[in-house]
Amino acid sequence: MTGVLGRLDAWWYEPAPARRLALLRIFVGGWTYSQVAFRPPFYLKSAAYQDGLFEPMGMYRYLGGPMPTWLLYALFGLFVVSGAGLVLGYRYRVTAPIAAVLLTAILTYRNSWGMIFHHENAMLLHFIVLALAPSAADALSLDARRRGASEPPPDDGRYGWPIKLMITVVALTYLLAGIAKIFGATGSEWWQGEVVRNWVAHDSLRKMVLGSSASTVIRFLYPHTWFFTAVAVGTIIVELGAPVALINQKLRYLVAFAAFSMHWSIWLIMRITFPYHLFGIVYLCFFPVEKIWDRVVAWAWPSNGATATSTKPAG
Amino acid sequence: MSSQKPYSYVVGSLVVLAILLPLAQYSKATPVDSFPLSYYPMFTKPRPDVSVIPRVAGFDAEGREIAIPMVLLGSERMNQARRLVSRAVAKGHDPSLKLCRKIAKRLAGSNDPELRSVRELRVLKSRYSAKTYLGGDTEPMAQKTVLACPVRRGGNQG
Repeated sequence: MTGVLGRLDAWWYEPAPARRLALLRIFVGGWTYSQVAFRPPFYLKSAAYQDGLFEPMGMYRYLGGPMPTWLLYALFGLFVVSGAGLVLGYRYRVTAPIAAVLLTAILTYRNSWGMIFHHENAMLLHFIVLALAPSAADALSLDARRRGASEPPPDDGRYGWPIKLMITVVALTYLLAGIAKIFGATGSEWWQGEVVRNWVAHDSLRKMVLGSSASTVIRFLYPHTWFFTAVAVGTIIVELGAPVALINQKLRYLVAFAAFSMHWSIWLIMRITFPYHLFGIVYLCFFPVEKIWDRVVAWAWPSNGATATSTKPAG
Repeated sequence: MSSQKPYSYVVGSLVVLAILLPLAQYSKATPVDSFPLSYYPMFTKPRPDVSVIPRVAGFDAEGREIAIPMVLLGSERMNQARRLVSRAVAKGHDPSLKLCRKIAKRLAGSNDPELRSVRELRVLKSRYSAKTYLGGDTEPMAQKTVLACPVRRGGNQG
C-alpha cells in the first residue's frame, strides 16, 4: 500500500506494546466495571421505581415495555461475572464480548427512564472497543499466566489499533458535540455567550429550586456576558478541534489537557459531573500508560525496579 | 499482513460509522437523541430567562412548605428526578396523581425526622426568572398547584 492509504494503514496498525493495551483493559475496563458492578442501586433500584415513565432508548425501542425486574437482575449478575473476566483477562475472547453486550443492555436500560446520561457514552464505547480487541489480554492477564508467558509479547499492530480506535471514539464524540452546537437550534448564536449564560443560569436555577448541589459561582458570573462568550468559544474550539488528537502524540496531550480542563470548568460552574472525564480515565488511551505505570511503580516500590518493556509511544 | 488486520478494519469502520450515524438526526424535523449513540444535543436549545419548573413539595398542617429529597421523587439524580416530575405533569392529571401518590407512599415509609410533619404533597408549576432568582429574590414569580395528595402514615395511600 502506498500514498494516503498506506499512511493510514501505517497509522492504524502501528505497533504498540502489549502492556499498554493490557493496562487500558485493566484501568478503563476496571473503572467501568467498578462504576456499575459496585453500585447496583444506580442500575437496579431506580429502574424499578419509575414504571410508567419508560422512554426506551437504543435496543429497547424494539421492545414493548420495561423488562421484568428479575431479568434486569439476571443481566446485572451475569455482567458482574463476565465483566470481572474482562478486567482480569480470564477467558477473554468469551467473557469480554459477553460483558460488553450485557453492559450495553444495562446502561441503555438505565438511560431509558427519562434521562440520558451523556457521560456514559464514551465509557461504554471504550468498553466495547476493548471487548472487541482479541489481544487485550495478551499481557497482564490470567490468560497470559495460564499460557505460562513470562515476558509480554513484542510490540505489534494488534495492540495498536484498539488504542487508535479508543482515541477516535473520544475525538468523534467531542466533534459531534461541537457540531450540535453549531448546527443546533441556536446555530451561530451559541458562540455569542448569551445562550451559554442562559443555560448555566437555567440549570443552576433548577438545581437550587429542586434542592440539588448547585455552584453559587453563577451568582457572580451572571452579569458578565463576556465571560460566557469566552466559555462558548473555548468549548467550540476544544470540541471541534478534538480530532487533531489523531494526528500525533503532542496534539493528543494538548487535546487531553484542553478537554480535561473544560470538564473541570463545567463542574466548577455548573456542578455537572462527568466522572469518566473528570478523573481522566477517558484520556488514558492518549498516553503511553505503561511508561507512566512503570514510573509510578518505581517511585512507590523503588527496591522492586519497574520493568519497562517498550518505550516508544504509538505516534 | 497480520491476521488481525482485516478484522481491525471491519471493527474500526463499524464503530466509526455507528458513532457518526446520529448525524442523520439533522435531516429530521424533530431530532431524537438516543443511547449509546447520541448526537449530543446538550445545551444547544435556547433558554429564556423565565421558565416554569414543575416540582413536588411537601406541606405541613400549617401550610408551611417542606423540601422533599430527590430520592423520594424517584431518583438520586437531580436531572432524572426532575424529568420524572416534568413528564408526569406534561402527561396530564392521572400520571401526575399516580406519581404524587407514589411519592407520598415512599414519604410515609421514610424515617427522616424532617419529613414527619408533612401532611400533604403538592405537584406545583412554579414560574421563575433566572436573573431575579440569582439576584437574590428566590420567591417564584407565580405558582400553580396542579394537584395535591395526602400523606397517610400507617395506612393506605389511596
